[in-house]
Amino acid sequence: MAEVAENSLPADDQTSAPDGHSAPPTGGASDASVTENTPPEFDNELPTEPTPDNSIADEAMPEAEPVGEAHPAVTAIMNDRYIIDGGRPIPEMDTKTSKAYTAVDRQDQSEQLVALVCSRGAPIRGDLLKQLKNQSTRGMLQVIEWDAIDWPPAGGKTMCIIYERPLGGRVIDSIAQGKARISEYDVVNKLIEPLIAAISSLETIAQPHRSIRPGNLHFLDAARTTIVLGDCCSGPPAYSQPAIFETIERCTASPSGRGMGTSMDDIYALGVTVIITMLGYNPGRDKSLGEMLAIKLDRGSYAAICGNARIPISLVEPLRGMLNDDEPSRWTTEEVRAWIDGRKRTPQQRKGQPKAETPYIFASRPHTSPRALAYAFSRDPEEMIRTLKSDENFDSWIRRSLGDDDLADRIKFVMEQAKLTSGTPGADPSVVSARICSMLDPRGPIRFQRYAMMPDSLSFALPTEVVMRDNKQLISDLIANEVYESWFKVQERNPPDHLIWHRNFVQCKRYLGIREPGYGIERCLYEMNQGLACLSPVLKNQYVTTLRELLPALDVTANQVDSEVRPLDRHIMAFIAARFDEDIQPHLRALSSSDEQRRTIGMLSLLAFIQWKTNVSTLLGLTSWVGGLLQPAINSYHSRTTRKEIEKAIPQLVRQGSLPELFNLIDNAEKRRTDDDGFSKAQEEFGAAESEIQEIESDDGLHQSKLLRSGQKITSMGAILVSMIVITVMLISEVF
Amino acid sequence: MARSSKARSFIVIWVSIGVVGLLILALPTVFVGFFGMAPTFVAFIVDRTREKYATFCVAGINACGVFPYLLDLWTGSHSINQAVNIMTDPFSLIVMYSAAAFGWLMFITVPPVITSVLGVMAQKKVSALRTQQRKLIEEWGESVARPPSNPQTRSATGRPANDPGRVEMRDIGSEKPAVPEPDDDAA
Repeated sequence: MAEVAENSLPADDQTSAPDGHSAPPTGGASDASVTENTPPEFDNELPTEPTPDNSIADEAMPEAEPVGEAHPAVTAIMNDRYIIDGGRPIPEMDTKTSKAYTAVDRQDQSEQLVALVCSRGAPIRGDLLKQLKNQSTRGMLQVIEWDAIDWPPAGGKTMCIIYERPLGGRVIDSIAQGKARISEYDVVNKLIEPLIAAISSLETIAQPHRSIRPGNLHFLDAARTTIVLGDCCSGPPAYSQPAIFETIERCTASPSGRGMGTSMDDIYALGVTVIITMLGYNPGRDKSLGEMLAIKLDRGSYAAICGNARIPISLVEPLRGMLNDDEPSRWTTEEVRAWIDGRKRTPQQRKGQPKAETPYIFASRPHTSPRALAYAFSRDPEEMIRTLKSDENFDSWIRRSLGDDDLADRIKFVMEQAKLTSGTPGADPSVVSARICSMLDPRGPIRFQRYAMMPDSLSFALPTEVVMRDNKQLISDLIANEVYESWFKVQERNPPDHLIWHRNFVQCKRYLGIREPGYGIERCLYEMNQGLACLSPVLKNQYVTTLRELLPALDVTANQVDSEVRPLDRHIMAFIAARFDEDIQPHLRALSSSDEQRRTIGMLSLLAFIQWKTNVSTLLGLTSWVGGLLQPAINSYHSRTTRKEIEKAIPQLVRQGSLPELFNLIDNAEKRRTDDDGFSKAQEEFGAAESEIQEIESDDGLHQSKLLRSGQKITSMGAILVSMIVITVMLISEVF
Repeated sequence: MARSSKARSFIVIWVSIGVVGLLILALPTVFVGFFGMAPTFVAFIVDRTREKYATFCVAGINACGVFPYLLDLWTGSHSINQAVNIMTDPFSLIVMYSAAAFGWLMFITVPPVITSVLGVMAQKKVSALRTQQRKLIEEWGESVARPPSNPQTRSATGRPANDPGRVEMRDIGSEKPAVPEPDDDAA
């Protein structure tokens, strides 16, 4: 049964749409590419429903270009060693956030490599890459190298990950082509055992794989004896996973919001992978996500995924263990290993989910589980509010059928509160819907509008939604309206992780509340994802992930941009604020000033500060660029002579490439004080002269009368003087 | 108040003693002086200004006309007859009073001329001040013509120190002083 041949696949499976996209919003090219390269029977997401409630499951993945598209003229070199050949794509290794190409090691051309060129702006798992690089991990493709490369088809510099190339190709392709077979006797040694080894290795470094699915399994050797897991680092965790490989909690989350999860999520995905690989098709292919969720909640994941398919009896126990919907009861890696080693376990009894005695009809569909109802509610918040306002049966359904008076009271309170605070953001249907959905499904994702995210996914969800999917407003509203609070409030337990996740949301809300440069959604992006490259349009041809790389990148950019463009925009300022350990609040305040002089000096000061702190040596291009923008700062001096002196000195300092020196010239304290004092004196002199002129030129007669009095005084003094001279002369002549 | 009135009384007493003494010792001189300087006394009464420039002007020239006759009196017979002879001589009266008239004429005609000269000098000064202002504007810009808002503590950007939005340039580069000099780098 486990032998899979191409002709054994049901015809409808081979033609079903990949990813479950009946009408992909991102265009046919992307969808077609997925169709071309991804065998539908394995990698398709759950089929879509013809109703509006399908979009969470069917979030289309924006891709930079069609999968497998060759770029014959494009060749990139990484670290002067690895040559990535754009003319030789490897479409079967593409992911939703990266394209695969053949790579060659200059130092060892016999080594066959594959390069995954990531979509520009896609958040990669840098922490995991650092730990996996050059480490041979059983059950995983080895990461050889990773770095940014110039890749024009991606729109500039982008991240590229070099893996060793799996020589046997993709497992599902080999099986479909009859080149390999995995029998029920092989499945443990060939599939489960190496994958559990990989999951265990990753578990030791607290990093789950989150991309375990049949389409991401490869034969490492040409003989097709060793199966390894493919890439998991080129995008957000579980971003490329079809929803069926996700647990009940995470499957209704949007792809970018599925979260990091744990190795327990990998175990679950492994269980689904084993079933689908053995069966050769997806048993739930004809069900929508909502239907599959309802079945999972009703009968459990194992029964929902297997359906009526025949599973070898020896695998029933481990698969039930791996697909246990109660996470604490799910098999761990040790338990799977123990089973592989032949130690028997007591068969697990499935824990039932809360279930109503009678169904509640919403959107023309019956719902017996509050968790499934929460999912249905989240698909149409406005209809949910209308229903809850008008339908008295809902309250009685919760109280009687679910037997949960507390839940009914809390929902009633939320509705009444929304009624009282009508018109406020808190009473918005989306927010109210989110609160009620969290109450109905506390373990599910945070649901807002038509987006859903697990709280541990914030660091990857932000860049994915803001940059790749242009959903800036949605994610901003989710945080600004404190939608996350309702999720944290309904949790029965509050482990330390929850506190960290909550702190991250609160931090983001604080940044969003500040409109000034250096804050806002851009700051959230860089604070939450320390590995994210700066997304400034100014740096579109650069890949900057650390502060030390920023100034050299700007230096290179200086010759490629319009000299009128300022080197610091909102993205770069937020990037600096997130990556710089020093206090730059005064700089940010100056940069947000409406006064251009202050903005210019703030820009120069900040760049100079960074150059000094990061010990970056000569920056000729950037200094020249900044030097050309300093006129407003030079104009902050009053003295024309000082201005001319500064203008004369700038070219000389530009040739030194030192921003601190340039800053010293522009904002010299002594020079500034002298200028201020001189200007004050000049103002006083000017005022005194003006007063005197006004006095002289006044036409009120005062000046004339003053002059007349002066004339009279002079005349009288003259008369006295004349009389004294005459009398003296007379006396002298009389005496002598 | 009482002290000033007492002082004034003393002055009056001493002036009276002086006048009486002068009348006893030099009556002819007093006689010629009193009648010869009569225009000056008139000028003193007519001149209502505080400075009494007209009085000084008339008195100076009037004295020039009276003094020769006083000299004759002092060098000749210092008698009341001689004094009466002088004062009854029309020529001597014409000399004395013409001198006083000349003093008045001077006071009327000379000040306007002096005023005109001073006016020309003032215009020259205005021109010099304008030139000085132009030079200040050339060096410091048009803003130098504005009165200083707070001359002691203006920032480089012209914001007063008490402006809450003001950021000192020193604040912006608060860490800047530690920027290594090129020599330090070389070291």
